[in-house]
Amino acid sequence: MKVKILPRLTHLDLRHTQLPDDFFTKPQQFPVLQQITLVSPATTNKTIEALSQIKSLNRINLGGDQHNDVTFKYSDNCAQLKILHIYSSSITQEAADEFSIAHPKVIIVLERDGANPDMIPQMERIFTVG
Amino acid sequence: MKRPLSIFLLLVVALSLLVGGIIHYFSDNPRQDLLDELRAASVIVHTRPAELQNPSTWIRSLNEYNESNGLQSVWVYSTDRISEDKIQNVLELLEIELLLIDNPHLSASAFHDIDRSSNLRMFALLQTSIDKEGLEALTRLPVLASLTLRDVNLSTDSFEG
Repeated sequence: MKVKILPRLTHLDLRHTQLPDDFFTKPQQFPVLQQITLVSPATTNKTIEALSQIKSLNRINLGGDQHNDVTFKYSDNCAQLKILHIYSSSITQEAADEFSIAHPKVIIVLERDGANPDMIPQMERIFTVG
Repeated sequence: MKRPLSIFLLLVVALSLLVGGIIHYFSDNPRQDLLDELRAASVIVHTRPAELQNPSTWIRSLNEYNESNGLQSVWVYSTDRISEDKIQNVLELLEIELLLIDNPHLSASAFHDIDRSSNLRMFALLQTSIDKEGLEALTRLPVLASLTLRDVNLSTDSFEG
Protein backbone atom coordinates (compact mmCIF):
# COMPACT_ATOMS: atom_id res chain seq x y z
CA MET A 1 0.00 0.00 0.00
CA LYS A 2 1.04 3.58 -0.63
CA VAL A 3 0.51 4.96 2.85
CA LYS A 4 1.58 8.54 3.45
CA ILE A 5 2.68 10.16 6.67
CA LEU A 6 -0.21 11.44 8.76
CA PRO A 7 1.61 14.28 10.48
CA ARG A 8 -1.25 15.42 12.73
CA LEU A 9 -3.07 12.19 13.50
CA THR A 10 -3.54 11.86 17.28
CA HIS A 11 -6.47 9.40 17.49
CA LEU A 12 -6.89 6.18 15.54
CA ASP A 13 -9.93 3.95 16.17
CA LEU A 14 -9.97 0.65 14.30
CA ARG A 15 -12.70 -1.12 16.27
CA HIS A 16 -13.79 -4.30 14.48
CA THR A 17 -11.79 -3.33 11.43
CA GLN A 18 -8.75 -5.21 10.27
CA LEU A 19 -6.41 -3.18 8.16
CA PRO A 20 -3.77 -4.96 6.09
CA ASP A 21 -0.41 -5.38 7.80
CA ASP A 22 1.29 -3.23 5.22
CA PHE A 23 -0.82 -0.26 6.31
CA PHE A 24 1.45 -0.07 9.34
CA THR A 25 4.86 -0.29 7.82
CA LYS A 26 6.78 2.41 9.69
CA PRO A 27 6.13 4.16 13.02
CA GLN A 28 7.23 7.40 11.33
CA GLN A 29 3.89 7.39 9.54
CA PHE A 30 2.24 8.43 12.80
CA PRO A 31 4.64 10.87 14.48
CA VAL A 32 2.13 12.31 17.00
CA LEU A 33 -0.34 9.43 17.46
CA GLN A 34 -1.51 9.39 21.09
CA GLN A 35 -4.42 6.96 21.26
CA ILE A 36 -5.22 3.81 19.37
CA THR A 37 -8.18 1.45 19.69
CA LEU A 38 -7.89 -2.12 18.43
CA VAL A 39 -10.89 -4.19 19.40
CA SER A 40 -10.85 -6.97 16.89
CA PRO A 41 -9.77 -10.60 17.19
CA ALA A 42 -8.66 -10.32 13.58
CA THR A 43 -5.89 -7.84 14.39
CA THR A 44 -2.61 -9.56 13.74
CA ASN A 45 0.32 -9.67 16.12
CA LYS A 46 2.40 -8.13 13.37
CA THR A 47 0.18 -5.06 13.39
CA ILE A 48 0.35 -4.78 17.18
CA GLU A 49 4.12 -5.08 17.07
CA ALA A 50 4.34 -2.37 14.43
CA LEU A 51 2.08 -0.04 16.38
CA SER A 52 4.05 -0.54 19.56
CA GLN A 53 6.99 1.13 17.85
CA ILE A 54 5.10 4.43 17.98
CA LYS A 55 6.76 6.21 20.87
CA SER A 56 4.12 8.91 21.24
CA LEU A 57 1.29 6.55 22.23
CA ASN A 58 -0.12 7.31 25.67
CA ARG A 59 -3.26 5.19 25.58
CA ILE A 60 -4.00 1.78 24.08
CA ASN A 61 -7.54 0.40 23.99
CA LEU A 62 -7.46 -3.28 23.21
CA GLY A 63 -9.78 -6.23 22.77
CA GLY A 64 -9.45 -9.71 21.37
CA ASP A 65 -8.28 -12.20 23.96
CA GLN A 66 -5.44 -13.76 22.08
CA HIS A 67 -3.56 -10.49 21.74
CA ASN A 68 -3.30 -9.29 25.29
CA ASP A 69 -0.06 -10.99 26.20
CA VAL A 70 1.45 -9.81 22.96
CA THR A 71 0.38 -6.27 23.71
CA PHE A 72 1.83 -6.43 27.19
CA LYS A 73 5.08 -7.54 25.66
CA TYR A 74 5.29 -4.91 22.97
CA SER A 75 3.86 -2.03 24.99
CA ASP A 76 7.23 -1.95 26.76
CA ASN A 77 8.30 0.21 23.82
CA CYS A 78 5.71 2.88 24.52
CA ALA A 79 7.53 5.20 26.86
CA GLN A 80 4.65 7.68 27.00
CA LEU A 81 2.00 5.07 27.85
CA LYS A 82 -0.33 6.18 30.62
CA ILE A 83 -3.46 4.06 30.19
CA LEU A 84 -3.94 0.51 28.97
CA HIS A 85 -7.65 -0.23 28.57
CA ILE A 86 -8.54 -3.84 27.90
CA TYR A 87 -11.94 -5.13 26.78
CA SER A 88 -12.97 -8.77 27.25
CA SER A 89 -9.52 -9.75 28.27
CA SER A 90 -8.08 -12.91 29.71
CA ILE A 91 -4.55 -11.85 30.45
CA THR A 92 -2.20 -14.26 32.17
CA GLN A 93 -0.59 -13.73 35.54
CA GLU A 94 2.86 -13.83 33.99
CA ALA A 95 2.07 -11.14 31.44
CA ALA A 96 0.46 -8.91 34.05
CA ASP A 97 3.41 -9.25 36.40
CA GLU A 98 5.88 -8.39 33.70
CA PHE A 99 3.85 -5.42 32.60
CA SER A 100 3.43 -4.09 36.13
CA ILE A 101 7.16 -4.17 36.70
CA ALA A 102 7.93 -2.56 33.36
CA HIS A 103 5.28 0.16 33.72
CA PRO A 104 4.89 1.16 37.37
CA LYS A 105 2.95 4.32 36.46
CA VAL A 106 0.56 2.97 33.85
CA ILE A 107 -3.11 2.81 34.74
CA ILE A 108 -4.74 -0.44 33.68
CA VAL A 109 -8.48 -0.62 33.04
CA LEU A 110 -10.08 -4.05 32.68
CA GLU A 111 -13.60 -4.57 31.37
CA ARG A 112 -16.18 -7.37 31.53
CA ASP A 113 -14.88 -10.93 31.70
CA GLY A 114 -11.34 -9.74 32.03
CA ALA A 115 -12.13 -8.11 35.35
CA ASN A 116 -10.38 -10.54 37.68
CA PRO A 117 -8.48 -8.39 40.17
CA ASP A 118 -7.05 -11.41 42.01
CA MET A 119 -4.78 -12.02 39.07
CA ILE A 120 -3.28 -8.59 39.05
CA PRO A 121 -0.68 -7.20 41.42
CA GLN A 122 -0.51 -3.56 42.49
CA MET A 123 -4.25 -3.09 42.75
CA GLU A 124 -3.98 0.60 43.56
CA ARG A 125 -3.54 1.53 39.92
CA ILE A 126 -5.85 -1.04 38.37
CA PHE A 127 -9.51 -0.22 37.80
CA THR A 128 -12.14 -2.77 36.85
CA VAL A 129 -15.37 -1.61 35.25
CA GLY A 130 -18.32 -3.18 33.51
CA MET B 1 -38.74 68.74 -13.78
CA LYS B 2 -36.00 67.37 -11.60
CA ARG B 3 -38.40 65.81 -9.15
CA PRO B 4 -40.17 63.42 -11.59
CA LEU B 5 -36.75 62.37 -12.90
CA SER B 6 -35.46 61.51 -9.45
CA ILE B 7 -38.65 59.60 -8.68
CA PHE B 8 -38.24 57.73 -11.94
CA LEU B 9 -34.63 56.84 -11.14
CA LEU B 10 -35.65 55.76 -7.67
CA LEU B 11 -38.30 53.50 -9.13
CA VAL B 12 -35.79 52.03 -11.59
CA VAL B 13 -33.36 51.25 -8.79
CA ALA B 14 -36.09 49.74 -6.63
CA LEU B 15 -37.37 47.66 -9.52
CA SER B 16 -33.85 46.46 -10.32
CA LEU B 17 -33.31 45.43 -6.74
CA LEU B 18 -36.64 43.61 -6.71
CA VAL B 19 -35.91 41.75 -9.95
CA GLY B 20 -32.39 40.95 -8.80
CA GLY B 21 -33.73 39.59 -5.53
CA ILE B 22 -36.30 37.42 -7.30
CA ILE B 23 -33.69 36.08 -9.74
CA HIS B 24 -31.31 35.37 -6.89
CA TYR B 25 -34.05 33.62 -4.91
CA PHE B 26 -35.07 31.34 -7.75
CA SER B 27 -31.64 30.82 -9.31
CA ASP B 28 -30.01 27.41 -9.30
CA ASN B 29 -27.79 26.82 -6.31
CA PRO B 30 -26.72 23.17 -6.22
CA ARG B 31 -24.97 23.58 -2.87
CA GLN B 32 -28.06 25.04 -1.25
CA ASP B 33 -30.19 22.33 -2.87
CA LEU B 34 -27.85 19.70 -1.45
CA LEU B 35 -27.95 21.28 1.98
CA ASP B 36 -31.74 21.35 1.89
CA GLU B 37 -31.89 17.72 0.81
CA LEU B 38 -29.48 16.68 3.53
CA ARG B 39 -31.60 18.38 6.16
CA ALA B 40 -34.76 16.81 4.75
CA ALA B 41 -33.10 13.39 5.01
CA SER B 42 -32.24 14.01 8.69
CA VAL B 43 -28.54 14.31 7.97
CA ILE B 44 -26.97 16.40 10.70
CA VAL B 45 -25.33 19.42 9.15
CA HIS B 46 -23.48 22.23 10.86
CA THR B 47 -22.58 25.39 9.04
CA ARG B 48 -19.66 27.45 10.14
CA PRO B 49 -20.67 29.52 13.18
CA ALA B 50 -20.37 33.27 13.42
CA GLU B 51 -17.23 34.64 15.01
CA LEU B 52 -17.61 37.20 17.77
CA GLN B 53 -14.47 39.04 16.76
CA ASN B 54 -15.51 39.25 13.12
CA PRO B 55 -18.68 41.36 12.56
CA SER B 56 -18.84 40.38 8.89
CA THR B 57 -19.69 36.85 9.99
CA TRP B 58 -22.53 37.86 12.29
CA ILE B 59 -25.01 37.62 9.43
CA ARG B 60 -24.48 33.85 9.56
CA SER B 61 -26.47 33.61 12.74
CA LEU B 62 -29.51 35.03 10.90
CA ASN B 63 -29.64 32.16 8.41
CA GLU B 64 -27.95 29.14 9.88
CA TYR B 65 -28.71 26.86 6.97
CA ASN B 66 -27.44 29.00 4.15
CA GLU B 67 -24.76 27.14 2.25
CA SER B 68 -22.83 30.34 1.67
CA ASN B 69 -21.92 30.23 5.35
CA GLY B 70 -19.74 27.24 4.55
CA LEU B 71 -20.34 23.78 5.96
CA GLN B 72 -18.23 22.73 8.89
CA SER B 73 -19.42 19.24 9.78
CA VAL B 74 -21.71 16.61 8.27
CA TRP B 75 -22.92 13.49 10.05
CA VAL B 76 -24.58 10.98 7.72
CA TYR B 77 -26.19 8.30 9.85
CA SER B 78 -28.03 5.35 8.35
CA THR B 79 -30.92 6.68 6.38
CA ASP B 80 -32.86 5.42 3.40
CA ARG B 81 -33.93 8.92 2.54
CA ILE B 82 -30.70 9.96 0.90
CA SER B 83 -29.22 8.52 -2.26
CA GLU B 84 -25.64 7.47 -2.83
CA ASP B 85 -25.31 10.28 -5.35
CA LYS B 86 -26.13 12.84 -2.68
CA ILE B 87 -23.56 11.39 -0.32
CA GLN B 88 -21.04 11.52 -3.12
CA ASN B 89 -21.88 15.21 -3.44
CA VAL B 90 -21.18 15.64 0.26
CA LEU B 91 -17.68 14.31 -0.33
CA GLU B 92 -17.19 17.13 -2.83
CA LEU B 93 -17.79 19.85 -0.25
CA LEU B 94 -14.16 20.65 0.24
CA GLU B 95 -14.43 22.95 3.25
CA ILE B 96 -15.79 20.30 5.63
CA GLU B 97 -13.70 19.71 8.75
CA LEU B 98 -15.65 16.88 10.38
CA LEU B 99 -17.35 14.07 8.48
CA LEU B 100 -19.07 10.93 9.79
CA ILE B 101 -20.64 8.36 7.49
CA ASP B 102 -22.52 5.42 8.99
CA ASN B 103 -23.79 2.68 6.70
CA PRO B 104 -25.23 4.69 3.86
CA HIS B 105 -24.78 1.74 1.48
CA LEU B 106 -21.91 3.45 -0.23
CA SER B 107 -19.83 1.48 -2.67
CA ALA B 108 -16.29 0.61 -1.59
CA SER B 109 -14.90 2.88 -4.28
CA ALA B 110 -16.70 5.98 -2.99
CA PHE B 111 -13.68 7.43 -1.19
CA HIS B 112 -11.08 7.58 -3.94
CA ASP B 113 -11.10 11.38 -3.91
CA ILE B 114 -11.55 11.96 -0.20
CA ASP B 115 -8.13 13.59 -0.07
CA ARG B 116 -9.59 16.55 -1.96
CA SER B 117 -11.18 17.54 1.37
CA SER B 118 -7.93 18.99 2.57
CA ASN B 119 -9.54 20.64 5.61
CA LEU B 120 -10.80 17.38 7.07
CA ARG B 121 -9.68 17.11 10.70
CA MET B 122 -11.94 14.26 11.79
CA PHE B 123 -13.20 11.43 9.60
CA ALA B 124 -15.29 8.50 10.84
CA LEU B 125 -16.52 5.65 8.70
CA LEU B 126 -18.84 3.12 10.29
CA GLN B 127 -20.34 -0.11 8.93
CA THR B 128 -19.25 0.64 5.41
CA SER B 129 -16.78 -0.76 2.90
CA ILE B 130 -13.67 0.86 1.56
CA ASP B 131 -11.18 -0.31 -1.01
CA LYS B 132 -7.42 0.07 -1.24
CA GLU B 133 -7.47 3.32 -3.19
CA GLY B 134 -9.87 4.89 -0.71
CA LEU B 135 -7.75 3.82 2.23
CA GLU B 136 -4.64 5.28 0.62
CA ALA B 137 -6.52 8.51 -0.09
CA LEU B 138 -7.34 8.79 3.62
CA THR B 139 -3.64 8.81 4.43
CA ARG B 140 -3.17 11.80 2.14
CA LEU B 141 -5.37 14.08 4.24
CA PRO B 142 -2.87 16.67 5.45
CA VAL B 143 -4.52 17.88 8.67
CA LEU B 144 -6.39 14.73 9.71
CA ALA B 145 -6.20 14.42 13.50
CA SER B 146 -8.78 11.72 14.23
CA LEU B 147 -9.51 8.68 12.07
CA THR B 148 -12.19 6.13 12.95
CA LEU B 149 -12.81 3.03 10.86
CA ARG B 150 -15.33 1.04 12.87
CA ASP B 151 -16.90 -2.15 11.53
CA VAL B 152 -15.46 -1.32 8.15
CA ASN B 153 -15.04 -4.02 5.56
CA LEU B 154 -12.07 -3.83 3.29
CA SER B 155 -12.81 -4.65 -0.29
CA THR B 156 -10.47 -7.63 -0.46
CA ASP B 157 -10.35 -7.76 -4.24
CA SER B 158 -8.64 -4.39 -4.36
CA PHE B 159 -5.88 -5.58 -2.00
CA GLU B 160 -4.99 -8.66 -3.97
CA GLY B 161 -1.89 -8.50 -6.12
